[in-house]
Amino acid sequence: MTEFYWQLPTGGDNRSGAFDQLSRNTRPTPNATIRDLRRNQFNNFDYLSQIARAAEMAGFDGLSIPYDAEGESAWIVAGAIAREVRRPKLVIDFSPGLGSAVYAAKQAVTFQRYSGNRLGWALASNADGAARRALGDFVNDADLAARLEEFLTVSKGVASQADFTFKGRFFEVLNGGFGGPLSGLDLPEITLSGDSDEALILSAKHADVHVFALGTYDLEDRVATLKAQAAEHSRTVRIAVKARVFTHDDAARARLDAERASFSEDADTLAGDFAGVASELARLGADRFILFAPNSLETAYRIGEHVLPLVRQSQRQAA
Amino acid sequence: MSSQIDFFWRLPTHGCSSSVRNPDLSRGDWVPLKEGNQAPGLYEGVSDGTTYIDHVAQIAKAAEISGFHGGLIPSFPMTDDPWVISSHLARETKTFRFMIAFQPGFINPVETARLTASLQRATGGRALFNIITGGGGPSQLWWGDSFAHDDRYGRTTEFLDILKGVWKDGPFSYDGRFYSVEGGTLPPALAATDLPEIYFSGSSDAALASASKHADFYLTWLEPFEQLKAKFAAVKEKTDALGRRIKCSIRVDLIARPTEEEAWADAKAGFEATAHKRSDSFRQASDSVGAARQAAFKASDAKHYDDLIIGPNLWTGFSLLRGGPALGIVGSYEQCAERLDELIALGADGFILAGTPHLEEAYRVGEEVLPLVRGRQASLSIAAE
Repeated sequence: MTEFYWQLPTGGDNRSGAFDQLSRNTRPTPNATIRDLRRNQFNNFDYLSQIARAAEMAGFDGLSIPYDAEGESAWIVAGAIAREVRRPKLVIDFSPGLGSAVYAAKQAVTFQRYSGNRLGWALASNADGAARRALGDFVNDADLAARLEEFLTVSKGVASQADFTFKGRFFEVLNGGFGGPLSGLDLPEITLSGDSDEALILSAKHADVHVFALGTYDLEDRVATLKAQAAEHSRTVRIAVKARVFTHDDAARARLDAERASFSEDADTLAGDFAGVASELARLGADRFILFAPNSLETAYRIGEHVLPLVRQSQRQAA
Repeated sequence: MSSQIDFFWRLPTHGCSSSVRNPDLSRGDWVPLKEGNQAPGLYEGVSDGTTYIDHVAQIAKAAEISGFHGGLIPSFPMTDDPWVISSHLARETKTFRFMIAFQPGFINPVETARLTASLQRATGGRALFNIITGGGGPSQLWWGDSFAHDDRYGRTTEFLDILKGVWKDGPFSYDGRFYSVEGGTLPPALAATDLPEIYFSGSSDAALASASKHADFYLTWLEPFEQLKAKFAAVKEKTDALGRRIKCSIRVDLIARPTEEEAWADAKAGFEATAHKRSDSFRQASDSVGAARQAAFKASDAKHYDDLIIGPNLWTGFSLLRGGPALGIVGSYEQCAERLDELIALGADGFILAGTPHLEEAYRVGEEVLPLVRGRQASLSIAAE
C-alpha cells in the first residue's frame, strides 16, 4: 500500500504569529482592545503537536520533520511529539556533518527503544558551502557523498556490532558498539534525496527510501534509473514524491487557495478537487507521498478525510 | 548572589532497582523481562508495551512534585541518551529542569545551540547542561570523538564560546583550533530563549579558567568534608580572581530513613546482597582525578559494611550498590539534613541528590529531608561552634 506522510512546519506556517514570533504570517497581532490571556504560554511546539495528532487521527502513516534554518531542531520536535502520537513514523531531516556518527546512532537507539522503532533519518547536508559553514561544517562539496557513506558505515556499525573499529577521512571509532538493550535495534530507516546521477548512485547503495520533489524533470526516467542501479546491488529502494497540496471539493477554490498563497506556479504544487488530487497521486504511483501545505492543520484533516479514503479505496479495488 | 540552595535529583539512565537492599535491576530492560519487572513489564505472558521512558517519566514527575528543580541525566556508553529523554518528557512535565550531561565532542556547537534553544522552547526554558570535558584517548574514540588533543579545557572553552556567540551574537564567526563557524546564527524566536545554566567539573587550573568564563556551577562528587572545603575555597578564589565567581554543587547519594538504625540496616543489607559480585565500578575507570579519589576508598576490599564508615553518616560503599561514586550519606532524616547543612556551611550552594529506588526516594527525600535543611541559617550557627 502507498504510504502517506505529512510534513510538519518546523519553521512555522501561515498560522497567526500572535502566539509565537516563529510564523510565516506577518499580520500585526494582537488586537490591543481585546484582553489577551495567552501571554507566553504557547509557542510553535503546541501547534506542531496539534498538527501531529491531526495527521495521526487523519490516517497518515508518518510525519516528516524537516530541517529549516528558520525553524526548530527536528530532533527536539520529534522527541517532543513522540509520546503524543503513537502510530506514525517520525522521519527527521538531519545532516551527517554536525557531530559524531556514534553519538547520532546512540541518540537514535534511545529513540527507537522509546518509540517502538518509529524513527527515520532523512540525511542531507546543505548543498551550499556558505550555509554549511554557518553551521560550523567546513566539508568541501566534493566530499559530501563520501562523508555520508562514512556516516552510514559508522552509525550502522556501532549499532549492529559489538567491537566496531573504523578509521575514515571524516569519522573514526575504536572498539565501539552498543551493548545490552542498546544493541540489536533497527537503525532508523534511511531516506536520501536529490536528482543528480551521484545522488541516485548513493541511494542505490544505501537508501531505504529516495525522495523526489513533484515536478522533478524527467521523473519517470530518474525513478527507472534508480531502480535499475539498486537492482545491481540486489537492493530495492522505495520511491517517495514530495508535494505541496491545495485541495477542496471545488477545484477552482483549490486553485484560488494556491494562487493566494503564491504557490500556484511552483512545480511541486498539486492543486485540485479531492478526486483530482487522488487520481493524480494514483497516476504518480509512488511508494510514499510526503505532503505539506501552508495551512498545515486544516489541510492534514482535509486530505485525511477526503483524499486518502479515495486513494485507499481504489487501491483495495485494484488489489 | 542568592542565598537559597538549589536541589536537583538524578534520573537513572540505565535502569533502577526496586530497593537499595537488593541492587539487582528490575526497572528497565537492562535485565531479561520477568514477572515483577517494570517498564517493560510482563502482562499475560508478554511485554506490557511500556518502555523505560515510561518509568523515567514517573521519576521526573515525582522529583518536580517533591520540590526538586529537576534532574541530572547522565550519559555513558551503556545509558540511554539525555537529549532524547529530555525532549520526550518536555511536554508532560511542568517545572522539571533537564540537566543534560554532555561532552563537546558529541555534537558541534552550532547544532548544539539549535538543539538546546529548541529544547528551551519545548520546555519553557527548562534545559541546562552538565558539561563533561572528555579525556581523550581510547575512551573518547569509543564515542567517535577523534580530536587528538591534550588541551581538553581549551576545546570546551571554544565550544561554549561558539554556542553562546551563535545564540546571542549572531551572525557569529569564529576561527578556533577545534571549531570554526562563519556567520552562524539562530532564528529570532530561538535566539530569544535563555542560555542554559552550565554545571561544570574539573579541578585543574585550565578547568577553572574555562569554568570562570562560562560556568554557573562547579560540580563535584561528595568527598571528605575538609577536602571539599579546600576545593570549594580554591574554586571560588580562582574564579573570583578571574572575574566571575561561580557556585558549587555536590552530587551525592543518600540512604535516608526515619531512624539511623534503619538507614544502616539498609546499607548493610545492600552490602551483603552484593557480596558475591564485588567489582568496584571505579576500579577500571577513566583518567579522571575525581574518579581516582573515589576508587581510593577501596570499597570492594571491605569485609563488613561498617569497615566503610569514614565519619558520621558517611559511607563509602555506594559504588558497590550501583555504578557511580563511593561516598554518600546514610542516616536519619534529621542527620541527612544536618550533613547537608554542614556542606552548605563549607561552601555548597546546591546539590544533586539521588537514592534507590529513584522514584520512591524522590518523594521521601523531598518530603522528609529537604524540609529539615536550614541552609544558610545553619551555616551561621555551625560557624560559631
